[in-house]
Amino acid sequence: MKLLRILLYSTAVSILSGLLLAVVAQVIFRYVLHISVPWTEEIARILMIWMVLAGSIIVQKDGSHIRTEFFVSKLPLKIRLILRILLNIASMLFLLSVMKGGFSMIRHTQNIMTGSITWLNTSILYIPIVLCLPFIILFIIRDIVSFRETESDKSTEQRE
Amino acid sequence: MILSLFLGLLIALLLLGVAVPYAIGLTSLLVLVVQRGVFNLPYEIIAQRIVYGMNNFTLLAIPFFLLAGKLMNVGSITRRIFNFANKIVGFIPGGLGHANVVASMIFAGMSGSAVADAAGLGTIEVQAMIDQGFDREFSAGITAASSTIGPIIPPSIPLIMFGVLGDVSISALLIGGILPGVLMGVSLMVIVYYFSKKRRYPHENCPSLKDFMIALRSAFFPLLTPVILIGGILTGIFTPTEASAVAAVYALVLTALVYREMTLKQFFHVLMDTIKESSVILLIVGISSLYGWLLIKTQIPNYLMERVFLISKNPLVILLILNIFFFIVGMFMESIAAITILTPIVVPLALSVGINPLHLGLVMVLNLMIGLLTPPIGMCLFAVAKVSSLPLNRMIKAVTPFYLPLLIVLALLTLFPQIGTFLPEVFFRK
Repeated sequence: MKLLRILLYSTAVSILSGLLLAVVAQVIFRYVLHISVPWTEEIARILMIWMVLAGSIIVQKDGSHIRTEFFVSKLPLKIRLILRILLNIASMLFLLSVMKGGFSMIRHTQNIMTGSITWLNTSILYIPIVLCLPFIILFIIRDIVSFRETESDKSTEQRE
Repeated sequence: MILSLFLGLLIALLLLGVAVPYAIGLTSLLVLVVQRGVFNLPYEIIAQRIVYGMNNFTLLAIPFFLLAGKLMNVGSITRRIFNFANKIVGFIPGGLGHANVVASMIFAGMSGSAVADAAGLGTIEVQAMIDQGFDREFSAGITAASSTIGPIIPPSIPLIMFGVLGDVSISALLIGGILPGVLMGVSLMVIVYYFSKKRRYPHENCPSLKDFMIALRSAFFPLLTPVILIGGILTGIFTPTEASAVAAVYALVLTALVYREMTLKQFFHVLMDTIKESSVILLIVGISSLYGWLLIKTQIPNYLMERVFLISKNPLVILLILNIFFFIVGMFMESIAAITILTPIVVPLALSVGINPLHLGLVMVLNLMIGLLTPPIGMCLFAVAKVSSLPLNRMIKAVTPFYLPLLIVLALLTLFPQIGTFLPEVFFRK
């Protein structure tokens, strides 16, 4: 797990730095060197998709997605537990359908070149989906398990 | 049936605590299941729409503006800005209250997020005000209220999102936010003045020229950020995305090289926070692209338009209805989620009755920013309650007087679109 975290964090930070470099390079090429370089924009867009999906693993791991706990926290514990399990399973089904689509799109786009980088094909946009979504699903499963443990601990404490 | 599934299910999932991107995704998936059946789901389209939604160069401005704002919050930049603001307006009765508002307006020109202002600058502002004899509630209330200026004065993450999702010029939206943002600041200063006179809050002596110059010199480089940003966009030197990258690099150079106030560990934390917050926002944008595509395919905006037209076709009446709707939504929904879900629905409606989408964007974002101060879901309320150590019920009471000036500005902006459209028309007239 620690290795995964180091790998994930360093990948995400490298991508963000790459993004920044690409856009700053674009400004320098255009205004300082007066050269039009279309690949900087393309590379920045590709890197952004990779960053968002890699970052989404960290967001899922840390439980930092935007959600409204206000109403659900008023429900009885048992109902909250059942809801949490059902809704997490539903979320996983959605992610699995995105993953299935990602695999298909990688197959379909293998021979389509990107606009300005001739050696790169469009499947590069879909690869992070199939690489990152399994980890997000794994962390959702961990959430279900840990929620049960945390809530059981709480209810034991309350009984005592 | 499809409409109730689209809106009803989404709202139900959000209220049940499902993370916003998954709630939007699940709703879209269920609509597809109802339309095409479980065995005919267009998996390729699902993946394609999500990637398409994120594959947008303009959206890159979001991580960069977040990064710039976070870098400005490390070290002494926020303190320098606050001190400078205090030298400009600190002599007016209720001095630090005015400095609080002016500092938020300056910080708004560097950061595009209200919560970043509330949590970063807010910590310094609340403490300084309490130390000088202001009561905790007033200090917290004005800090929360002034932080909502952040996403109105450029840069602004909500306005960028509205522009991308509603196909409205980002540069025009950003520049259009300047006057409403300044009006918000002025209206808040009026109410600070009123309370300060009534409660005899302290103020500073008029600064000597030397003191003023010292404060100006100390804050000079941070003060250049909005000049570079807004100037770059206005003169057409940068696109908003390029301006955001330049702002991030400038903030990095200031914090790490000029002031030398950031350790490598702090820098790593800033980068990680930026990645996390950007991923949260941009994943929502990506998945909403699927939702927006389905909305248009099922012609829901047209259906809603027909229903609204039964009430009125008068743009002002429609803006009033939308304002009430946005206000209620803002109370219960986080602003980023509200913008992603509502923009594809309300922009066609506005266009059909001749409301300028730029005007609509500003009204919508300003309204949702007031929503950041309203319970039960008010991100700025939570952030300032935390930094000012106030329980939430006292925080809500503290911010209540400040609804009035902000609502007056909202009403003015609704009634007089020129407040938002004047500057873009001057600078971007074709």
